[in-house]
Amino acid sequence: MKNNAIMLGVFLMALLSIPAVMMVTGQLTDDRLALIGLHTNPNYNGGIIIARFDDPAGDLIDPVPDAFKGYKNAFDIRSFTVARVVFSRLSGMGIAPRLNLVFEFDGRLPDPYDSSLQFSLPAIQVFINAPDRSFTSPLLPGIALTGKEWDFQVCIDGLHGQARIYDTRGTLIGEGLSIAIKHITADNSDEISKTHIPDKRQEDLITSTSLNVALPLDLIGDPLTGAWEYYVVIGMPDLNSPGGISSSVFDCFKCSQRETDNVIALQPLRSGLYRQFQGKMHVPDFFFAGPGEKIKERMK
Amino acid sequence: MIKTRLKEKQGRLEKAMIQKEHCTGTTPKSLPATMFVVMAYLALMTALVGENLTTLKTGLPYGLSVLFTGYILFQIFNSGEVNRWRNIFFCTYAVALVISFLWEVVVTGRGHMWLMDRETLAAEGPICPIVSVMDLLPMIINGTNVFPTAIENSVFGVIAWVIVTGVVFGRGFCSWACLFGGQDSLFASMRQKVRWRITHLHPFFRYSAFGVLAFIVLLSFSTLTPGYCIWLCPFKATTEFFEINSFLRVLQTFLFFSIWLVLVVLLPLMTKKRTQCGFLCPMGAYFSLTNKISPFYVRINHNSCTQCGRCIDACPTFSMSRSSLVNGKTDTTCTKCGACFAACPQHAISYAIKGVPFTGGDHPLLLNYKPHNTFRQFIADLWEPGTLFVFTIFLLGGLLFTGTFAENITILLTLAGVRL
Repeated sequence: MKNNAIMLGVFLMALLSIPAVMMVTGQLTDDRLALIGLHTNPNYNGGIIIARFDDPAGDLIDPVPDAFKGYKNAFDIRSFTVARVVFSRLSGMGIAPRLNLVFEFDGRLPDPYDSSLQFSLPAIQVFINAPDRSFTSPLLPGIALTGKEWDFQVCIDGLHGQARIYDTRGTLIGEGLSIAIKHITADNSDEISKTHIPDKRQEDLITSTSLNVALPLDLIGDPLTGAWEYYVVIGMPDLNSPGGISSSVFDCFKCSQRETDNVIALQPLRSGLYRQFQGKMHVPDFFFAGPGEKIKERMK
Repeated sequence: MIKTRLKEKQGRLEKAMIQKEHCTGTTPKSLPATMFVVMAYLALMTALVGENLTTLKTGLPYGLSVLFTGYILFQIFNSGEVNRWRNIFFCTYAVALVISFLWEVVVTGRGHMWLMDRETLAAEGPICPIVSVMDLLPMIINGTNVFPTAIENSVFGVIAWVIVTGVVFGRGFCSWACLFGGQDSLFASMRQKVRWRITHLHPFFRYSAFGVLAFIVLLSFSTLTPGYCIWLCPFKATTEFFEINSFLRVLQTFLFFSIWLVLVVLLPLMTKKRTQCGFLCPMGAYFSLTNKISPFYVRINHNSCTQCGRCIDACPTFSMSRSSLVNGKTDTTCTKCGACFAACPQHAISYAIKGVPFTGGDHPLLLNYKPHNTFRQFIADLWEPGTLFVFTIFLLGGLLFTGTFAENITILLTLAGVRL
């Protein structure tokens, strides 16, 4: 019995020494670990991705005004990802469930208005269609939603440093949602400071920028309850408009401009069933608003 | 008169030698054997941390750290006072780790001890070996790391390392290499006399750590979160903890801080026992299980043992009992600290290796040499279970300690305004 235990111990030691040596020599990369199905809990990695949509570069549907000619990339969205972060109630983790909306753009986003978030452009709207809810006309003229209804409008407003949620009646149901910005460099280094405006050298290093907005599931419901749809519109901020966002649309997913009335027709992005993203996602670095900026909920 | 004085002096010296031998509980090693072991240790450490010795900036702290641990090892072998010097090393390590951690987090890092939610959600938590017991089942069954740290931060490697350490050393890790165990060991060593004597320990408390282990393994597997870290780990009081932004977090903070005050500070201070390690630590429970597999154990010589029970009182982790004395070895929760060695007046307790008959100086190959021959003594001292165990586990502890202690030296130099 004792000899068997010792033999078992020696066998385990020999078996585990191989990965231990691989770890020490830096060969246990995340790609290799993914091959054998090892990964960190997705909740710690931006959430479980339930939908991801890519958009080709250079497909702007409206010309960018002359003042922003140098910022074409700012209006040209490259991908939109929806990820869900939910911890078990038994865990005691104490972090509220949320839906992460992640938008990626090439290069660095411009900040001509000196925003607190280091980006003033673009302004993004996401119309979310949760199943079994009501429908009304869209808030902004010039945009038609072909297909089904929408229930929530998320306005991502870098100029004002926050994201807001409206319901179909135009009622503000959540504001002060923080927007997290992450700059991705070519070598994936962490040279870019998250709190300071990048200098020219750092700007050159940025290959892409991601924006992450966390929507509390308590406000909008759980996207796993059915096939949710998302309409993503890239536009501009407008200090004078009621929603803070101009009606100009520069890019969107699966959209076209009708020749008859110049209305932008959006096709929905359907999230479909839950699926695990197989690959490496740029981890969004996001945060809730700090002290004094609580999320306000005004549900009717 | 001179002869009388010389005789008296010789008598005092002999008495001191006998007392020293009895006090150590294990025989001091000869100087050649001690120097050989220490040189081997220093050579290995130099090879393992060699890249840090190339510049003055890192070389000085690392060099001092290696020399310090080498000195500790020298004293262990030269004096035979295993428990005393091991405890000095162990407690110093625990204090150094706290200083180093808090300096990095509070002074040069984020500026406070709490881990923000955004850092948790971005997998920016530090790796901790206690996570291994929580991560094992989810890793095997779900392929998921439940701790908020990026998997490429050696999570899998740490788990493998913990398993290997357990298999080789059993619960020896808890007294020689644990990052946090030195805290309650430090408080347990502070008082000379026991204030609250524990004469009889209910089995519930003796085996409560196993219950904690089972609970947190199941909780972590079912929720895919580190249950022990969230609710129970008392060492968050001296490292970092989740930010307090809800009533739930207030409750959790109160809980772990209370556990720290009671099990790490107060009870060890009053009872001179390592109560956190004995009653709560799930990693200690895991290592207790691997004690069954580990080749090293603590043996009680029936021929020498008089069943006086001093070792039972001396054991800091409640791993000695009357049945241990009958069985001839310590209980499965033994951390191999050597405290019982020092307490035994009969020199009846020693380290041993399962299935390996160590004949020491009586090995047939050495019988050609006289009993007090230097070479024979040298081989006898080296070829002994205690030597092998202490050397290997101290090497492990030294590897873990060196970087931390080097950081402390760097901190001291920084505070003193010294720039290298």
